Amino acid sequence: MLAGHSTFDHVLRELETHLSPINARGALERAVARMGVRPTAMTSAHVPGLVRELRVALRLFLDPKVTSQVLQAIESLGSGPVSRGGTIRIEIRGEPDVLAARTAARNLCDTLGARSFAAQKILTIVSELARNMASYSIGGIIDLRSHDHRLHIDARDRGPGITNLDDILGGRYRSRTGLGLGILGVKRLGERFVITTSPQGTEVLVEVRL
Amino acid sequence: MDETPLHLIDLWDVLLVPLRGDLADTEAELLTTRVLERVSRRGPRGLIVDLSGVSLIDSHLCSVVTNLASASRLMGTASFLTGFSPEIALTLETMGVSFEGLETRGSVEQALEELGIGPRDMSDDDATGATPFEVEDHMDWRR
Repeated sequence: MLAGHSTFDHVLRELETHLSPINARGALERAVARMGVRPTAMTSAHVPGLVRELRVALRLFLDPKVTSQVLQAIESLGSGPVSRGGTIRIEIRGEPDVLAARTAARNLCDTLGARSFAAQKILTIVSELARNMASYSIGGIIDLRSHDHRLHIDARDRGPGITNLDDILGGRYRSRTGLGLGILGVKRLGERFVITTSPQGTEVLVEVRL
Repeated sequence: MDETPLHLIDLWDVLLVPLRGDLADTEAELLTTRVLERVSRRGPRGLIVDLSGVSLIDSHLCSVVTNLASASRLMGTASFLTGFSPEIALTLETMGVSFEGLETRGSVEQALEELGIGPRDMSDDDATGATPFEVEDHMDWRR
């Protein structure tokens, strides 16, 4: 779990993406009270139990599909991205992981106190890279590392590679599903952009100043 | 009851679509289908897709929303995208996303005013001495 902001704050923030602040706080405080835990004492270990309590509460406000989505995002706060010596690692296997990637990036930006414009760039970059990985590759990982007032993003997948990279980076290619613009967009958003691709896989390295 | 969080609001002859939270791919597809069905069935004068409830707009959501707006316009419905936050606006601009040919406005209110729907000027009633009922009759005739 990321240090700096409490688990309670992270969960509350997640709830506020779909509920009004009053309802989000009310639902969360009731769930935490039923667990007999003080909000400030909450840790990621409490997350599974919290998810169970919230599942019932959220049905008052959201339809089942959205509830699942929100709970999934909250669950990823408890057990999700692995922190390894300051690096947050996100596994991307399919579309649901794109949401987890955004949540991890959002939480990291909160923890690091990133400026709002920097955070927006980072979230967008992570979303683009995660989406491309989920849609076009057989899977991969995205590492987020903070160093020297910059966020380093390293996205590596296992194939099959991008065949018309020159066209894409030259702005000459737009697929129907927007693949081209995503990568070009990432390049334009970041301050350093390095991409290598082959049938064995693709790696994208981007940096954003915090 | 629909299982999706999609919410289409009819405001007289304008269709308002407020987007919220994160949109999964299947939801985005459903959004497009449902809105175009409604546009085709009711033929609204205007469509307003409001993005102020969305915290992240990547190229995929962009293309979904712009396709939706363009398709609606083809069907004769003036389309507006509203509610871009400063952060999102700057990010999309930096990425080079082009909304060419599409109307964007800061808020739903601005788009509504563009479509001729706005706050009623109460002083008009006082000047003519007419009751609200009589004023509306007059307006109906003019339309």
